[in-house]
Amino acid sequence: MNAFRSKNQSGTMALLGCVVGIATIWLIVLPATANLPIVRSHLEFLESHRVNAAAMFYTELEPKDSFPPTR
Amino acid sequence: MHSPYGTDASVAIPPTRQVHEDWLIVGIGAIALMVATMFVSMKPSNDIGKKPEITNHAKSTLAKLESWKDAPGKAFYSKPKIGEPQFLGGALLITFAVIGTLLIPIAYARGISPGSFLAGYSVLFVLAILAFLMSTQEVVKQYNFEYVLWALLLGLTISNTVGTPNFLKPMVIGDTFIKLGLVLFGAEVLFGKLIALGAPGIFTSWVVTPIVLITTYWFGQRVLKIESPSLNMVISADMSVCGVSAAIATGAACRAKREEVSYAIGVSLLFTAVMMIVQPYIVLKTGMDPIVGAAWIGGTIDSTGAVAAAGAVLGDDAATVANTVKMIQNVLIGVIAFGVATYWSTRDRESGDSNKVGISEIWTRFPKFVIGFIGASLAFSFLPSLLGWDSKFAEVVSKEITSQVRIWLFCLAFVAFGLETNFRELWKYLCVGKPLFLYIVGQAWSMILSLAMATLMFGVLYADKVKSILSK
Repeated sequence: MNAFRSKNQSGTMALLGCVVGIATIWLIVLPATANLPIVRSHLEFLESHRVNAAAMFYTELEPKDSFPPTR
Repeated sequence: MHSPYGTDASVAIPPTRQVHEDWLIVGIGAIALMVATMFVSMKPSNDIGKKPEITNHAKSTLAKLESWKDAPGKAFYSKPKIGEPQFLGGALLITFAVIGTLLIPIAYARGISPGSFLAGYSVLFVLAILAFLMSTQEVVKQYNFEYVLWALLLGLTISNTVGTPNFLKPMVIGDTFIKLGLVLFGAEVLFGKLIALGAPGIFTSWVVTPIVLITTYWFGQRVLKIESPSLNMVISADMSVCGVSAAIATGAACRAKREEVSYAIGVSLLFTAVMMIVQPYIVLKTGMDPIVGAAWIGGTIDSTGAVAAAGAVLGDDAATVANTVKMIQNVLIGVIAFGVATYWSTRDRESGDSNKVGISEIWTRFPKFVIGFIGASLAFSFLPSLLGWDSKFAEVVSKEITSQVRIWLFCLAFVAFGLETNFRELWKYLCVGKPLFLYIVGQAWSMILSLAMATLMFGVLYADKVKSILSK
């Protein structure tokens, strides 16, 4: 019973640790990184070219008027 | 064990029921695609020779989180080109309801009680929202670390700390979400894209890609002697075709374990983040013709979004070429998934010998959802023109409606994979060097062949033709 409770507690602590880690990265580290001049200029470049670098497949890309017509 | 991605007893269902479920998924997918077409209307133009007006009446109905930099809350507000940002709460509820409706028949067939379905599906959906939130952070998005990675991470975090709660387990059916997502994905694989650049595009994508796929798989089996043929196939397809989506499709077709698909996706995303910076740099530094460089990028970088980002560095025309070559290559995914499913069905499970299996056995083993995938692709590629509809019609349905549902299904699937994956199992793949070596050798081989073909097609044989297309 004690062993079960202790395993449960260590699992909960590990989950809390992971949540804190994820929150720190996404709420502090990544926003700070986004403000670095080199990263910011690249982000602005992508935005100005309407590039979605996270697209998995071509249907997720913004339509580009410059695509050659399908013939 | 017939269940793709799974060896876990909690999600395994008997082979006969698996076949029935596959057909059920094909049916649900077909109905969903038909319903989606009803939301798009086409009005003929009054001007002769002008294209008809196509309207999507379900525009912005399904939720798509926006990118954010330092305030995650901004992800929940749409960024319209005109007007004020709109809260996406309603769209999220509609998305929850739409996907839930698609899953109800599957849950019913599996004997999942309504209470378990609602509780399990709601938690998975919230985790999927969190995964999208993580993936839409601008820096994460910039380096193409897609939502599937974060969905997997969230699932892994829960299952390897407090364990997957029992009430969630009935809905931890990642393979089912993937199959349904793949049937819808078929509608996005449009064969009309094949001729977008003519011969140079086809040669660069459709000749090099199968050669790289087959030779890499052969190298993995015969030279590296990788123990798991399905891992070898998933890495080869992921690296040679289009990254994550190819890994998902071929993984399902060859019944790869979920850890194998997760590993292949992780490696692909990591290398893609590097290559999308390094490859345009090489083109610029070597003074290579940007059009040739763009075709090379389109033929070698795994992910579509990363190709768009790398191509944009070389200029507008180059970006067009890179995107189009990638788009043509993406069409191969259906053919390759079908080929892999057939090849895997013919292999003798004990000896790997393809001569020992009869036709009826091949049919029995063939994953039926692949028929739905190919059927959707063929229907959306050719039916509109047979019915005299504008070719854009199918693109609007798949791009603006069904792809949104497919993305959510893939996200739910990877949350589920994480929830049923033991980190130690995944770690085994990370510690063995052979799969990583296979990826690196395959990618190097792909870069050499693609560069040779891109130079021949875009730099020598069709250089003038490509320039004239781009100047229009």
